[in-house]
Amino acid sequence: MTNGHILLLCSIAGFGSGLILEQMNQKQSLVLAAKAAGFAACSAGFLLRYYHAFPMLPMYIALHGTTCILGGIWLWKGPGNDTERFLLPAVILLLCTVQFLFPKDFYLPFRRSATLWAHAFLLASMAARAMFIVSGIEAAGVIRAGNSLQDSRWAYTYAIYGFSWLTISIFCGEIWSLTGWGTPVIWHDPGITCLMAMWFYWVAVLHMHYTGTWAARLQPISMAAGGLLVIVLSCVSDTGPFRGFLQQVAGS
Amino acid sequence: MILIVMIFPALSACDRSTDPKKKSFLQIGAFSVTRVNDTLTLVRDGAGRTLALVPRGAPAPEGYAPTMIIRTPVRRVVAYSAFDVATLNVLGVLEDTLVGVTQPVDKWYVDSVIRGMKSGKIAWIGYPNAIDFELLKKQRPELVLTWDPSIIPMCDELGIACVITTTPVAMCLSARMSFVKFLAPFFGREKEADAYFSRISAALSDIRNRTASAFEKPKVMWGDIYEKRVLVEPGNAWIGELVTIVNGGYLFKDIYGTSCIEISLERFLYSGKDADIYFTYRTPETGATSKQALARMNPIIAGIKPLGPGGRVYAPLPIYAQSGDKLDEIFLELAAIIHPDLYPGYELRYFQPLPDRDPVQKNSRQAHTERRAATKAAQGHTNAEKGAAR
Amino acid sequence: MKDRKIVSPASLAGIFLSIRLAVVLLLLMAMTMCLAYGSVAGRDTMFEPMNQIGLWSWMETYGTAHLQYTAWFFLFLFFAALLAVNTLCCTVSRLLRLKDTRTRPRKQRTVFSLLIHMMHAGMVLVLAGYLASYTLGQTESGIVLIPGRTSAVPNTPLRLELVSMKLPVYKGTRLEAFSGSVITPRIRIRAEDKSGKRTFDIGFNSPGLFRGYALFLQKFAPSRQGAINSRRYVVIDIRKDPGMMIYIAGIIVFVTGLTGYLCLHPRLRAERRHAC
Repeated sequence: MTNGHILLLCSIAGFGSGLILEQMNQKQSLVLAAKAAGFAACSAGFLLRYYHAFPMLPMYIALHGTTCILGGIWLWKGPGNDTERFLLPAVILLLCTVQFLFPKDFYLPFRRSATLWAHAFLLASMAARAMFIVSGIEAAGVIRAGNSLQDSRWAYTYAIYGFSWLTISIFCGEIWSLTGWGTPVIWHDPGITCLMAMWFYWVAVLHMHYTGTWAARLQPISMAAGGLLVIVLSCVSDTGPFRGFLQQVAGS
Repeated sequence: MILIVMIFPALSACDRSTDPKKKSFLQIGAFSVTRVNDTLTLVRDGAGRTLALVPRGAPAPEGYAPTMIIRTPVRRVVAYSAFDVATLNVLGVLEDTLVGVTQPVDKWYVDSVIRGMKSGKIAWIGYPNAIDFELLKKQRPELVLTWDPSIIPMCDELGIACVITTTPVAMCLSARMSFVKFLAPFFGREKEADAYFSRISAALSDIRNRTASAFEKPKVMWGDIYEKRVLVEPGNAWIGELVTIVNGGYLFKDIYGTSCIEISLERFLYSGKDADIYFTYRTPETGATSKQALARMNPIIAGIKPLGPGGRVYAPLPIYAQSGDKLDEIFLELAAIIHPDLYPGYELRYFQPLPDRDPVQKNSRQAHTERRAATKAAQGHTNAEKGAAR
Repeated sequence: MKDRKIVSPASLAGIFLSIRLAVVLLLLMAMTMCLAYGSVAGRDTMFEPMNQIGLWSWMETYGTAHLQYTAWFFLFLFFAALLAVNTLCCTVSRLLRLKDTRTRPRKQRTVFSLLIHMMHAGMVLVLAGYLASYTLGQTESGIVLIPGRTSAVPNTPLRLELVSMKLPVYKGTRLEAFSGSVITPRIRIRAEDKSGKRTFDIGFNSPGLFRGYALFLQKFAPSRQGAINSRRYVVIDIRKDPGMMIYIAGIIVFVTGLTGYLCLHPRLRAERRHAC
């Protein structure tokens, strides 16, 4: 196991403990400590990969960064309603586990990624994914409570911020593509299609909300589905072949 | 605009018919051949450059530099790569057209090339990193098949067309088998190319059927480490695809990219713990004489499973690189290595299994001579089989 | 005689003025992009030539030869075209409504609406820029330059000379795999045509510009200290892209609209809550 894998394991332990402690209504200080430990381990792993690639871009790291941001949101946000209290840490734990069992950290960075636009493209897309996932979780909470979306302060806020970050990411990617290769689209990485899928879906959702042309009950459902879509697309593009947990531990 | 977008491709659709009058398009990995009309075929080489193939006597198309127009059939060729030389052999034009190579005569195992070099028809124009351009000019080639873009400006000055025959992404199995169809229009040998492709496809189909019933699925890795640089064959390379077709488990199947792609050391070692069979890039000449020798050169890989007791390691023999015209035999040999129980009594010709330890020390000249003799014997065996088949 | 329902131009226009159509198209495009992932993965040799040969040539050749993998792209073009028309119709219709002082909301809401329309206009400009780029752009790819020789670029009036190559070698240990390699090359090129010449540096993400042509570094050698073939050369692509300024303009318009929207939206929302 590399140091990165060990840190992922630590983050699973930290976030997992935080989830269990919070569900068992344990002392907030304990919950906070577990969350902080998970967040610290996850961020350390992310920064380590960045350290070993900078000034180039580490490959297929967006899922890891998204998980860090989600961990930070969980740390900052505090407990919300019942659905949020479970779903947010559960998603974080799921993403950490997926990355541990299906790592895709063996590609070397490439020279053309040593530019500000590439880093902006990556970091903005990570922020966007995290915002969309949280928005989806908020919407799931609304569905479960049987409320209207107007009752959730955060669902659309996160969706708007997610849309903004994703748009910035896509534009930065365009400029990187233009200055690096001379063309607006590069076909080497199919992950760009996942980003575009997310963008089109969430633009549709925002149009649904702001124009009121669709049934009110469809809005939270579409947002929750959007959050799930972002999780699936992020995992599809940033995960590699299966590596058994025991194999990794034994191999180290 | 919407209608144009939808209808235009249908109206101008290229088909892949062999009717010489019809416009046609063929993609072969990163290469492509577009037959525009009777007097113009456009080819896209491995570097994305578009060249025009024009029959002798036909008017030159506009918009192409003189060295991007190639008069067909080509009569004089210099080839860098042994695979390109082998492809010329498949098309039946090697003896008539090859006038220059980048390896000296003692490095060749192809009879036609040795004969040509000894007779003076084929010149050794120098190693790829030190080409003698005066000698190249003297050979008056019409075409240079190369992997080195740096010679293009020099060849432009000499009025010689260049085609890059390597690609930024590893050639898949289909592209490897079909590469002959890329070079065929240069020589007007499309029928020979189609016949070869059909033969290789049939052979591959036989191998697939035979290995489908294999009980075991050995795990295979292909690559090496050079001074901490870890290079492997990606899953999209023809080797990765072939291993999967013959019911083996290619451990770098998920990796996508160029041939000899660099990956992290950790991934190589992780895969090495699982591998049953390991193919190294190194040849016996470059140190791959035994598992012990490999481990000595690269202590990092000493712990991988194939280098341990019971593990199997194979190194390519020099003739392997020069046998691109015998893809069917190479595929068969790889299948036999992966499933020896399905090919009892098969004798290896292109790969050498590495013993655990180095054999008794012979002097290098003796060892080289013995290897050449063994290779020639294998080649003679192959030629005899071919003669019997004809 | 049965009544036959006639689709009038007015009702057709009505469809294009519908936001429901926009939502449906966006969802279809999202689905198409999901399908695209499976088609594009491992097949960049099928799609990458579009960047060199242009959209029409690509559609004629690669596009139609491998429809099972490229069908998504044709679908996407169709939906994008419909969306562009729909967006234009909706935007124009609402701007006309805003122009009518009888129906115009108060100033802040007007500005807010305009910002949203800016985003729509920006999106249409970006799509138009892409179309211009892929249909009107000129590309000469794989131009090889070696030191001391001037090369003419076909189909252009340009002549290029490789003046010098600055290849700083990475000597650190942090990037182990790149130890002894060049990460950020600087290539000095002299470009000339009948009206003059200019010398400039290009790198991997810093193209050179000369008389409307942009020069992009694709490859260089030697990229490693002690490489077997240490002959120096660079491979560059030269492009003349009329679409570039259009989609840069589209990006600027969109980002301006988005920034204004993000600033104004919380204020309007607070006002609405206060009013409730």
